[in-house]
Amino acid sequence: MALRAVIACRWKRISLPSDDIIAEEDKKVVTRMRWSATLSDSFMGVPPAGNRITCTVAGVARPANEKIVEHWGVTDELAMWAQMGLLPEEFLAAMG
Amino acid sequence: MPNQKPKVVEFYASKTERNKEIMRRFQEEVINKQQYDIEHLRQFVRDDIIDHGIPREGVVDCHAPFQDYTGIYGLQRRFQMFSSSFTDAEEADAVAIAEGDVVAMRYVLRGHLNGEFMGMKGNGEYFAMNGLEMIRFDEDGKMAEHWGVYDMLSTLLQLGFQIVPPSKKG
Repeated sequence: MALRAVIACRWKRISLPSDDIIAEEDKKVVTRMRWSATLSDSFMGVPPAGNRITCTVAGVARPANEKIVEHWGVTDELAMWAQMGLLPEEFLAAMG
Repeated sequence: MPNQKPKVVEFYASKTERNKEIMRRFQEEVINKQQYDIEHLRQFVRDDIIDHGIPREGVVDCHAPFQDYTGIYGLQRRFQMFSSSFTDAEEADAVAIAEGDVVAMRYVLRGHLNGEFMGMKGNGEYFAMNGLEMIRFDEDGKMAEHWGVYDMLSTLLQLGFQIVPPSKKG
């Protein structure tokens, strides 16, 4: 399984605005967000290039008594890794 | 008339509940049966659907191969290409959450690589991918706008794609 870059890396200047939030009877909340941050350290041997790395993140949270008691999320780490320079040229070409 | 189905009148507590049910039926009758002919899609999808795919700012644009196909035809093309690579793929463990005219559905997509995909040959490898779709429905319960988030990186690694860090390349 993929090493989660979002957890494994040290980031600075993180911004995570929401593009859409929907909630169902206060039981479940879905958020679609835009991750944007800069790497602080090397990751898999690649030094930080200083570029902003952006990708889409979505989460489903179940709140109870104003606290999150359950969470499920998915991150578009493919876009993140591509911007870190970790995906080979031929692979990016095959994607379109 | 033996072949005529009786007319079923369905009642829902709200349009939001109706849209959730349409989303479930779409998953069952379109995605999991891989029935992508236009007339079938039209029962669920507007011709002018705006498909954002995974919102990305110009990076790894998965939609580039479909830019000549707009609306429902772009969607059809994407589904067809996908099902030629993963002939047995099925979405399961779905949870739908809805508010107003938007339905979100998270799921796990499971299948095997039996056709070609992004330069990889069919190798029979199994994969399970987390995904989340958000759909905005129109008044009549047709899909009008779509956003998705998928964990493609994890999927590609499960299928055998290898990422060699630049520092390890010799």
